[in-house]
Amino acid sequence: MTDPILHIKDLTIGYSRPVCSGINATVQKGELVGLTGKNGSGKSTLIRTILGLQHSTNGKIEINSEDVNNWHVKKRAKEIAVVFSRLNQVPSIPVFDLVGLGRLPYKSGFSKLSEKETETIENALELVGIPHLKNRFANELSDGQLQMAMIARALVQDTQLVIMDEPTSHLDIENQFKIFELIYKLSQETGKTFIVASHQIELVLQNASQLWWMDNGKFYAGFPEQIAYEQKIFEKLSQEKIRFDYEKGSFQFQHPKYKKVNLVSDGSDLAYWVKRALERNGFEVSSVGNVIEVKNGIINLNEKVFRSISSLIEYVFIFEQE
Amino acid sequence: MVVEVLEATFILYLPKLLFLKFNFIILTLLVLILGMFFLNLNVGNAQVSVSDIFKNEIAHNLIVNYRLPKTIAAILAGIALPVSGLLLQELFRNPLADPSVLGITSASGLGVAIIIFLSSVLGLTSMLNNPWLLCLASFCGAILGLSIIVFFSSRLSSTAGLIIVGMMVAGLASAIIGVLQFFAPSEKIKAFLIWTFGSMSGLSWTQIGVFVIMVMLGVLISLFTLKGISGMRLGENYAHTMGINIQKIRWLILISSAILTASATAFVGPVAFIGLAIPHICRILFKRTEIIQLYTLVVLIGVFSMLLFSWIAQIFPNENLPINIITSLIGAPIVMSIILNRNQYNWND
Repeated sequence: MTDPILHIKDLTIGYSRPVCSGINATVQKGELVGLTGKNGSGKSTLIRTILGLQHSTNGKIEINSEDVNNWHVKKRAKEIAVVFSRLNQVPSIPVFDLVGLGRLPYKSGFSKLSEKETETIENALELVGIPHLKNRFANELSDGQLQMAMIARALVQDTQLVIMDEPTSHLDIENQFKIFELIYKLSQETGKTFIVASHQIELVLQNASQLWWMDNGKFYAGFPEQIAYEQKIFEKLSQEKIRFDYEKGSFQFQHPKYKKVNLVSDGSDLAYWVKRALERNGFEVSSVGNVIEVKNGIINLNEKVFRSISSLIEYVFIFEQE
Repeated sequence: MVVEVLEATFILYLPKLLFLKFNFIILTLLVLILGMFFLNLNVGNAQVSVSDIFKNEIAHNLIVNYRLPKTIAAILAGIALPVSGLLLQELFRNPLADPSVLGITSASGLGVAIIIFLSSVLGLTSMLNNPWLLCLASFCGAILGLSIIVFFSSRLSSTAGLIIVGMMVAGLASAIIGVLQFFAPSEKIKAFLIWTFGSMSGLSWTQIGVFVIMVMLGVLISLFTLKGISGMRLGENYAHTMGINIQKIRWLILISSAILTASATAFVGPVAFIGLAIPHICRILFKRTEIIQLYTLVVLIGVFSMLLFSWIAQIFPNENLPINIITSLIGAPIVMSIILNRNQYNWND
């Protein structure tokens, strides 16, 4: 296995009082990590700590096996790009110039944008889907368009890691979908690693390949559906948001489906999460195909017993390829 | 077909045209500045023109030792105050920031007042003739004023709050100046009052030398902040994640704007509104947002405007109009229009 791009070891975050301790996580190149938790659980503190805007009280953050604590602010800018939830003041500059600001870490003094950099900016605008906005002024854009421009700017910064802190928190539902769809697409197409902190648990679960869940000073990282199941995420979030309906489910992304499997469900929530994991990984749950049976907290496929959802998914992939 | 041609025109050629246009603007401004420069050398109470310079000694003396220093002082003030205003506007993300509105000119004036009145108390009138000392006192005042503003700006997020603190700094400075005047001999009060009207005349070549050095130093320092300023337009968090050392940039901006304000205040007097109005005129007239282009335009328009005002001040027969009256007449309406159209800039508040 290759070296992880991000490795967090026994990290404690917070100001004078620790907000969350014992944070351990490993992120491989190209992953899309969803970070979620209740308000005040320390999502933003964790992000600010990774960005170096705030010091950790204990532990270590390594990017490409280097301790980021020793990094100069300029070095950090070439490795991590960021998108925050909103701009406090939107500058009245053209979108092209706004996206071009992503090249700042590579600029000295008065050097102009090179032809290659201009091309990079054009490509980023194209990739994000807003090439038609490049001559518009940033302060004339809608919130959703502005956030797309800020994402393009983060791409132009040419970093391996892109961190987003509540990128959709002030957007309407359509734009929330658009932004998550874009992040998913970018993680597939650019090979960059994304860490996205968000309250939009449904959107996170439908897109992330790894879930970080912060709750009551504790941190859990792992396979999204497994964490969601074990930590009873919906139940915990239900208190502060709308109640989640397991029967009806909710909004769905249309990831391309390429294989059919037959899920025999006992109606438990484990069966629900298995279904979601299958769907996220491109399986269509129907009445034909191989039979996966969920009963009494145990998953069965081809007379094999699986103790976790991740081991099932891994097996299904190998099985389906043969 | 038509669409393709239009697209090609707008996507391929328009940017190039705009680039040409920028160079064209610069060239035009340089020509205008040169014209104003000679107009300034020609104007004055005595009917002497530049062409007389080689004809007789008096004309030569008048132009070289009186009109030329005056014109150069106008150019220097036209660089110093607008650049200082631009830096402060970008630093505080506040369209109303400027050395005079924030009270920095007044604080700077307090430094000058202390030197003027102290010299009479101590009987050391020679102090007044030392341009370095005057500059240093002015700089100390400016830095003091700016420190107060910065201290409060971290607690105030609104445009109005910052301006009120600026008014308080100005009020405090003039109160202390008032105390000094109360105890000062009358001839010193008159000297100080004349200084407050703002005047570019009567500067010796030594003073001009110090003025040039100070402005060049201020401009040089400010050039190192331009990259940081463009990053800080997205706010401090974004600037940090783009590798900008915010503390360093903030200090450089403060020091350079203090040097620029202090030198202009010490030698030309507390000239109001130039620092505020010129950057806005450039933004509105030329619609340039890229910081280096904006900076260049601010310098050129600043120089041109000060030469123009200095010329206007002298075209009235018999008396010269104080420069402060002209800058206020033009600056005050601009401030009012900014307050009325605040959303146009979409900055704070």
